[in-house]
Amino acid sequence: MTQDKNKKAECGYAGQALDFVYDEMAADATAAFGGHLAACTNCADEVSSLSASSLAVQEWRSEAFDPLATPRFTIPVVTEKRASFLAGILGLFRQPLYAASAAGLLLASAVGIYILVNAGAARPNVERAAVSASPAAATPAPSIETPKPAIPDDDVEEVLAAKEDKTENPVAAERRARTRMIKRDKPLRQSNDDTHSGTVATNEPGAKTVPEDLFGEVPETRDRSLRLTDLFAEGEED
Amino acid sequence: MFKELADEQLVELAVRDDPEAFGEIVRRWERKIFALCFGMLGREDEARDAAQEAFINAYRSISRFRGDAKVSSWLHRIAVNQCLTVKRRQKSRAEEYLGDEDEAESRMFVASPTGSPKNIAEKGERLKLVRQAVGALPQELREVIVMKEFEEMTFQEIADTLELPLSTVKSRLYTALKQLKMRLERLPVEIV
Repeated sequence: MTQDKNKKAECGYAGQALDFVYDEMAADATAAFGGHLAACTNCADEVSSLSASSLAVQEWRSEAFDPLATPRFTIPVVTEKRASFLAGILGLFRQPLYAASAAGLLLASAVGIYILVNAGAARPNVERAAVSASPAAATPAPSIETPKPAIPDDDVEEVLAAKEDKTENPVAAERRARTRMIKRDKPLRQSNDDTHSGTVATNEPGAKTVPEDLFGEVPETRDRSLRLTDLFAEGEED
Repeated sequence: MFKELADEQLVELAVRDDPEAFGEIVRRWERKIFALCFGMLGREDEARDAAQEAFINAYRSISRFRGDAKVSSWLHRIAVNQCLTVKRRQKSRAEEYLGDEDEAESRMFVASPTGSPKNIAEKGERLKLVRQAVGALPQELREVIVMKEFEEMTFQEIADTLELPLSTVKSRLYTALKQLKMRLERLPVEIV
């Protein structure tokens, strides 16, 4: 081993075997090294060893790689072009992962917009109704408390009589008395109760009041009406 | 239009959002990068995928390309890194590849139409062992021998590409060939 190293060291061409194998020497240097190989067994062995490995790899390349065609490489290029809003929305649906969430988002937005629009539309309607209320076009909204029609005194007596008479149904007697009252076309009496005096209660805050004179009602001075509850209370006291 | 331009000029154009310029770079280097990947990985399908990934990575990182390095060096470095990534993945799922080895070799054997079946079988076996021997080399030795034998680069080109001294390249190549010889000597069949 030491002898080999000494021989290599003595050889002036040591380290040139690789250049010779790969033909990376100048022409005159190649010729000189070729002449030296005939005399130097160490350099000849070195060249043989390196060539064997190199040729083995070259054979592998020529058999396995050279017949292969170069594949077509495609580079996906992302352009910076800004897509339109609609294209962006549509693009969401091209992604299967996002399709469901995008659809849900759109649906939720649509429902939200619908609710907002309806809520916004309902409020102005109320105000509009309140503002446009005029005596000529007064169509009062459904009242919360409608005054009960007053019953004439003689009808009250009839009802009380019916009540005392257990054989007759008091409800039927009351209905009969009311029917008679309508036939006589007697004007209704107004209640003394403050909540009913001259106004019609509506569910609209701040709605304009409508005078009862417009409906041809009886003046307030003749108001002597009684409530059924008062009558019943009197009957019980009796 | 791009054929007269140098690689560095093409990169400048590609950085300014001209994909066609990068396409020209791919056309210039695709065969060599593919050869490098094949030599490093030893399989066509893996080499193709690795080369594709290398070009994609290069395009993505083109804005970070330093002008002081050669484009060839930059591309080779990316390709070698990609091959090393593939090798690491192979190691992690080595069991899956055991069954594929014979199939890959059988495809290689069919490629040689001449000779007796015995010779074809022997050649196939030899090529398989060479591939395995090259694959078993350390990465820094393997990339040098692949660049020399598959890309047919000169010592100086390899030194420029790897940004190494010329003497280091020669030393690595010498060591690689010696180690390869030792591994191939264990073969039951004659090498050359």
